[in-house]
Amino acid sequence: MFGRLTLDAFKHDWIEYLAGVSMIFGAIFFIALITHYKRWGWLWKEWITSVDHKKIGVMYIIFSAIMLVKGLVDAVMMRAQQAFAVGDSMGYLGAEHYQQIFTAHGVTMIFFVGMGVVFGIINLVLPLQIGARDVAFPFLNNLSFWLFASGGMFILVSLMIGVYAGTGWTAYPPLSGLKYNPGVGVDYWLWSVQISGAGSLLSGINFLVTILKMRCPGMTLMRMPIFVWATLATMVLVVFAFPILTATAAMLSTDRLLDTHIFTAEFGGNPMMYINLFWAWGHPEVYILVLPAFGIFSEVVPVFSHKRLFGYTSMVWAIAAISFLSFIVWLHHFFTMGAGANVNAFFGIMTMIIGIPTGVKVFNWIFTMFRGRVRFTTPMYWFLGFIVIFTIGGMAGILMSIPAVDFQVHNSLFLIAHFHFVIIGGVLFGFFAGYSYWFPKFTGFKLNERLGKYAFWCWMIGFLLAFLPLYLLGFMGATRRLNQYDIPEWQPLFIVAGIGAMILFAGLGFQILQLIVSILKRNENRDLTGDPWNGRNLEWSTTSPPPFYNFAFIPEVHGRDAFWAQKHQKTQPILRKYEDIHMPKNTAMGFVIGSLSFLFGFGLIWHMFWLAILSAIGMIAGVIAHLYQKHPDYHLPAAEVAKIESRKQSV
Amino acid sequence: MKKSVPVAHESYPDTHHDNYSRTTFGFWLYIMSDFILFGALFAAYIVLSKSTFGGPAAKTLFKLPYNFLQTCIFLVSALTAGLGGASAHRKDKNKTLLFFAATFLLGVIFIGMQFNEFHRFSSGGNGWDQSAFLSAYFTLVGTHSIHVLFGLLWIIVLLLPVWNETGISHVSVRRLTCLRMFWQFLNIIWMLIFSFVYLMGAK
Amino acid sequence: MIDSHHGWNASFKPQFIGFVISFMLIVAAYRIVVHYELTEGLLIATICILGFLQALAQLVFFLHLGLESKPHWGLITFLFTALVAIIVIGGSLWIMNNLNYNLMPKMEH
Repeated sequence: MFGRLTLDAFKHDWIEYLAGVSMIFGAIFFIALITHYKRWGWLWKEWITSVDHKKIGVMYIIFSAIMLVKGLVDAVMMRAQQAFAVGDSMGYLGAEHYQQIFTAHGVTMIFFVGMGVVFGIINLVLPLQIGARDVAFPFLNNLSFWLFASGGMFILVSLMIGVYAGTGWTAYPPLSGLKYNPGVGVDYWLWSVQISGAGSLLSGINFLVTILKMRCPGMTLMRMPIFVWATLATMVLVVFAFPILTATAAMLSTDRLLDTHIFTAEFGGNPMMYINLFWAWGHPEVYILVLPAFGIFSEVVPVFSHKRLFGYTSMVWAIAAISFLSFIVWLHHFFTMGAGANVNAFFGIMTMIIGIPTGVKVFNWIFTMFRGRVRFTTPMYWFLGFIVIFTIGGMAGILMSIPAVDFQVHNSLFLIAHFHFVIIGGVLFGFFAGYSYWFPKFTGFKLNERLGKYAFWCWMIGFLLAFLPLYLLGFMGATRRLNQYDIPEWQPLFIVAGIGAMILFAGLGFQILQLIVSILKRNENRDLTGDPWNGRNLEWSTTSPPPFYNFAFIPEVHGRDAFWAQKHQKTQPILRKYEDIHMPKNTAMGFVIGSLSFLFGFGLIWHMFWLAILSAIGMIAGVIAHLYQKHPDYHLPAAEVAKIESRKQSV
Repeated sequence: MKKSVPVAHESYPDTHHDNYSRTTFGFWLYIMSDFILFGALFAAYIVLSKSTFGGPAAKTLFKLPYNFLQTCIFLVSALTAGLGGASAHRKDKNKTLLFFAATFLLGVIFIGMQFNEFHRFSSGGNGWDQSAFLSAYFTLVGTHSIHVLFGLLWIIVLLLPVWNETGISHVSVRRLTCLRMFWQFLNIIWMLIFSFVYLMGAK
Repeated sequence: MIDSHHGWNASFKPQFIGFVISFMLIVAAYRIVVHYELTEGLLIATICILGFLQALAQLVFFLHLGLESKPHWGLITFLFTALVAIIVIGGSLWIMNNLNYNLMPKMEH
């Protein structure tokens, strides 16, 4: 009845108990808060069942923020271990535990922070920027979020019940196969990735249709904001790369559940095929993470330089080039696996080439600032930090694109430094810039600038201290994923890195403080105009926050930077009569199917097959019930629209 | 080159046309992603097709006339699905029900034949756990079968409202179009499986 | 209501044409492979060509590829899909072949 779930699964060491207990306390605190303020109805109606892209975007970001805390705690724990475990000292984390930490750290950061903030920001901003009222498939949007959350829950639950994978976030077989890892850890990995991956794929389809079919009148492709172009490219990558991961994870699942021999070391299997297919997905994935960040910078830099974005057309071509090239570089993740010189050379050259369009974009942003009236607000700080950090990381990447060099530094801390420089400098700093920039739009008040800058400096200095030493260590031969080093000369560098991690963690602390202070002081920092930064695109033409239907009248645009044009045109806008607005209804089905997906995965992980089968039937039944729904939408009467619009005008 | 300027009626508030165009395009994108999914499975199969671990190879196991018959049956079902979809667009309720029912029947026969083949392999000591070749074969063809099963369920789910409605609602037309696309996509995948797994393997 | 100029969505003829072409191609492929002794290269070429022709026929006549009004998003996304599939499958075969040659022991028992 309980499959292989026994009481043993609940036994852990003190650190894991601490983590589990703090999570449970967090959950209890949240439940108590909601109950005390009698907000269960509100939570259900306004958030859990909402199909409003703005609400869904906020939920993605909140979930990602929680996962970011967990991922950073993992990081600090690893750094603390490395700072002490040199020579004879073994540190405080055994190898088994350490392996789970770096695995969970990777999965958490890439899937549940990276993808979460990407989908969160796109959800918030995209429909507004194209003058639409929502995305193409609002129900699917809600479902995607709950699948994402369900995937994340596996990592959190694995802290308390069972163990997580110790294979690294890439879960290479044969180590991740049935023979060498028969326990639940890898299965937790598989289902967190597979279920959240399904959510990602659905979102990819959703946003792609939204951009291609729901732009407001007059918004041709070449008049879209660059953020929308970046989103378009990203969603193309999602739709075409994620199925590779789905297939590969499915094959690893059958290897583990059904004893197939696709990636095993015996019976004719080929583990190298996993590595090949994994990275055929994995490389587009890193561009899925970073392209939206590039898009965010293309929004932030022109506004705070008080100047139009330089080189719009070349930006579009650069995005297109990066997207295409990202499909033909994947072998650079395994130059050392043993392919011949021809194969390595081809992929090495392609990898070098992909640096060029990225460089074009960096220059375009810098040229945008040149001769502009630059305001150094927090978003611009994040941008400037990105320029420094991402460029260094990118250059390290180009260095490694030469197979001969890569043979020296593959799987060393040099590699770790490279990808942290580009992911944190690119994706995370990009998200932080977007967070600071768009925060007033969706909450109605600005974030505290001073604390924002303190946070930035902690992140900047902390990051450089935490990761610059890793380049040196990598060159000196330090291998990744080790919990102990026996070269005492390295310890000072590890200690510096450990200090850097603490400072970085303090940066997160400042951001939390900034949020709290800003909420407490919100009345002093209200955004009453809807346009606190003198923005250029359509999202700033709405109130802060926008009405749930976004636009009473679908805008009509005649060029780029549509809102800027609106603000500076001489003619008065024509007054029109309000019309009924057709909106989708809330639905519980996304939450239900998402929850069932968790039970499905849990059942398969613990071999409680009855649970898996029942959940699967439940999910299918849920979809059918949703299809048979009689009235999934409603009309908001024109009179209501008029009331809402007049209320905001009188503010 | 003419710029693709979207016309006012393409945005919210949506008309039935917009929903149709969005949904069918969205479903098309799902089909495109499924092509890639099968592509990865095909790649794995081709790489592993010779890894029989000493066991019997494709040449010994596959019975081409049987699979050829299967292919023809499935091809006819793609035709009936197409005719069903067209009938739905013509709002011809009886023809729609007839053609999709035929599709269902042929689909059931196809799946029956497929499971029969799986059973023949398994009970003959050639199950999916015997070699990489067999694992890859069962995974690739099995994934196709699972898709067909979902298609069969979907036919029932969609035909019931059509049976109960007077005429065919625009919602049903939209969904039947997606179903038709799905079924015909599965036919293309099967044809590729027949070509690259069975025909290629049996020689 | 439904876009009325999508005439091909309601026609039976393309479905029948597609069926007949596909049927002829599949019979041809079957008969060639079964009744003729082909070298491996010729076998692969025959199956590939007939297979892709049939896929094309089904894409056009069954799935109406390329028949939509401008902009041809369906066609464009399909072409990109085909490109990615060729890159992933072809690339994987090239890579794995290379790796297997360099690294795998001979598996003949």
